[in-house]
Amino acid sequence: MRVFSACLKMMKYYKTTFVIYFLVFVGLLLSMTLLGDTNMYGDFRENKPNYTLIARDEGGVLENGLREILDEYGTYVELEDSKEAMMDAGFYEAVDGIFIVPQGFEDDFWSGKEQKLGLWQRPGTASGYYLQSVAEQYLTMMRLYRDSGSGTDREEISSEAVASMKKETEVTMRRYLNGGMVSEKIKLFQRFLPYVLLLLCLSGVNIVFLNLKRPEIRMRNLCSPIRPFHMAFQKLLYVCVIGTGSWALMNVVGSLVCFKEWAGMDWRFPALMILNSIFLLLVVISISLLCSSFIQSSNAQNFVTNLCSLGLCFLSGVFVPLEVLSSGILHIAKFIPVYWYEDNLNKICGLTGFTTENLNPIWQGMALQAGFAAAIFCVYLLVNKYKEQAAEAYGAVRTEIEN
Amino acid sequence: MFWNIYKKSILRSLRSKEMVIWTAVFPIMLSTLFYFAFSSLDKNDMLDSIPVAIVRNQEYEQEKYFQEMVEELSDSDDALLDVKLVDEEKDADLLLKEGEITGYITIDHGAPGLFVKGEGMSQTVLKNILDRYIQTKDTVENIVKSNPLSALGLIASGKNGLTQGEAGVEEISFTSRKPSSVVHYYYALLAMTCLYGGFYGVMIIEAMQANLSPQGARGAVSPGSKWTIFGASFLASLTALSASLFIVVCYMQFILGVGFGGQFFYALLTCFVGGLVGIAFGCLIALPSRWKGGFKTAVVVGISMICCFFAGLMIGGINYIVSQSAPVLSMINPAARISDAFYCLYYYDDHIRYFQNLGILVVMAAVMLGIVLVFTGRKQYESI
Repeated sequence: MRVFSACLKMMKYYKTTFVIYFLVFVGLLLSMTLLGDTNMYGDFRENKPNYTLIARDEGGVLENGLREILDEYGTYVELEDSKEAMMDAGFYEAVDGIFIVPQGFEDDFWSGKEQKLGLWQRPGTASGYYLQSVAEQYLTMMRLYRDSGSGTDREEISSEAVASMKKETEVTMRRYLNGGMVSEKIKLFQRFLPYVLLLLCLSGVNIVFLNLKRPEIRMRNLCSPIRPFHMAFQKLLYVCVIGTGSWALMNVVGSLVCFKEWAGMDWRFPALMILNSIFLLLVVISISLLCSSFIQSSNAQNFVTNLCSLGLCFLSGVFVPLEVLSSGILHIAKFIPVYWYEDNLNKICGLTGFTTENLNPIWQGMALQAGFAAAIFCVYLLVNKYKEQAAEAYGAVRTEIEN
Repeated sequence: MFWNIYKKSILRSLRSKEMVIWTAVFPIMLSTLFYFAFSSLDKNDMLDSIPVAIVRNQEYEQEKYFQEMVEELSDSDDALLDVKLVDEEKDADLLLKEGEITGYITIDHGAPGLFVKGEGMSQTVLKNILDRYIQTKDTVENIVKSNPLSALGLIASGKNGLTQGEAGVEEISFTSRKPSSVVHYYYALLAMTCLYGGFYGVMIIEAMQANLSPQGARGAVSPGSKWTIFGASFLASLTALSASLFIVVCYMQFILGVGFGGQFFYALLTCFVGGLVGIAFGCLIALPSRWKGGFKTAVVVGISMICCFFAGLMIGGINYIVSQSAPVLSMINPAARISDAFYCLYYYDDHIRYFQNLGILVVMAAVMLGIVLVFTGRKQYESI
């Protein structure tokens, strides 16, 4: 196992680089997971869009009631009454709606010649519609109580309208499994896993293989009494060790970060997710091998690592959820193995039972990943054979020693 | 002398694969990925028709106003609800389990109840529709109880509010431009490309430091002044970087259709000023003559990525959060200023803030170049 040992020695030489890569990529994964995490509750909780209320009137019962109702249905965000502040907050989605109470709004309402409440919202959005409908409903209530003449006191009318607005529909959350749902944190961690696994494997494999490609080392290896098959096998073993090591480390980190969430779940969910990530690992190993055939310098290594990891992940629903990708992209994504991992993950998280009928699509997804891994490995063997025979491959390799 | 060095420096920049890759190929590749991945992001929170099932039991048949409301909300081309009427609750439950509907509604004791299996804006809007129904019903019942004559008058005048209310809210807009959830990623990417101009800066200073490169040693004994060599190399790098940025901006505008508010030349001006800051930043990083070239490049990449992270390259909107919570940090972040300048072009009707951003960037470049010139001018070699 001389080649394998040599790979491990080189890995040891680059241990600082590996540790830095690991810390940076894990940090990236954790920040993506924790920033995107949303709380999961057992009962139903409404989404509360962010809103701002800019009061240009002197205030009164109508405005106070509106504030009370909007606080009930949304989350208030403080903003100054300047066009620039409102434009920026709207553009960067810090608020979903900005209400502007015009001057004389209160007096005009009670005198019957109503002014309209201004609302800025992102055109056509659900949260904008929601905020608008809440404000419309409140104004309709107030108008009904005012026109009915059921009271003359403004405070009384407003409190009756607010009391009516607090009546709510009973919402029941249906549960189809005994254990808890898959938490958003676990789902996000699993979703971003391919990116970090690809980066770690590609960097870990190529940084070592690049040295093995140096002409003098290749020539030395070719005249050594080791059969090319054994050499290739030991290199493959090294890639498997790097891949499995990265996969295991990521799963340990994942378990530590999502410990609480794992504990409350049906055990079959984590089992399926781990199985799914094992198939992803096969894909990542074969991609790393294939990429290593093309890399001739450390600059190319950085470029290919970024190109592969970002390209595969952007198009397969890692950074942008599959539901948000356009149908055209989804058609292309079906030719990318990472897509099947993400698709399987969505199916696992959406399981409402563990019957054969429920699980069959998941097994199919795993089989597809295995098929992709095998196909990419075959391409690697072909490319490698061609590259090994090519005379120009000797002179083209540049490592940091030549640089 | 000046033009000779300028021409040679341009050739060196064009022949350097790394420079071409990181300032042209990589941004083009990444923007293409953005284009494919983010093409539907603007439609993410859009209000689409919500699939819902209603259990058609006896109580449902009796709720005429509810039926009217459902019909109104589901009976047009851009209907809010996509209603499936089912006879039994178990059928609706099966549809929910299979994910074919967002929720289902049953009428029980005169009040609608909603069943869902998840949380989200669609479920919230569904609940809101039902809330509005029971609230209006409650209001009308209150009025009927307290003032029956007035209630009759309201019903006769059609102001009962059960099916529709007069619009009390009007939509306003602050600008003629439409907000976008996508463009700021491209702007942050352009900011990253500008800061990657730092690689040119490192190359310029390394080529001037006699203890780091043979070129520097040759330059140190040449009859040309340091300022001529520095000036010509800097201008050549700025020319090469501007050319790369021009290609990237053209690609974004004409191939990917990224908007710059119809102000293409202002976008180029932003790139030019951003590139100036990027190169000056690289020169500053390359000043310490004891640092190795690889380390200097790593520092350029590291600082650029941190600046771009806070300019919104990885997480959209983080630049806004930083500008609100730490305005000074946002102000001195060159990537945030470059990205904000593009945003002003896209979203603002005037150029006041745009030129403020450019002014800050020019000041940054001037300060960095000032430091570089002071330290480069003092550098002398006793031996290398």
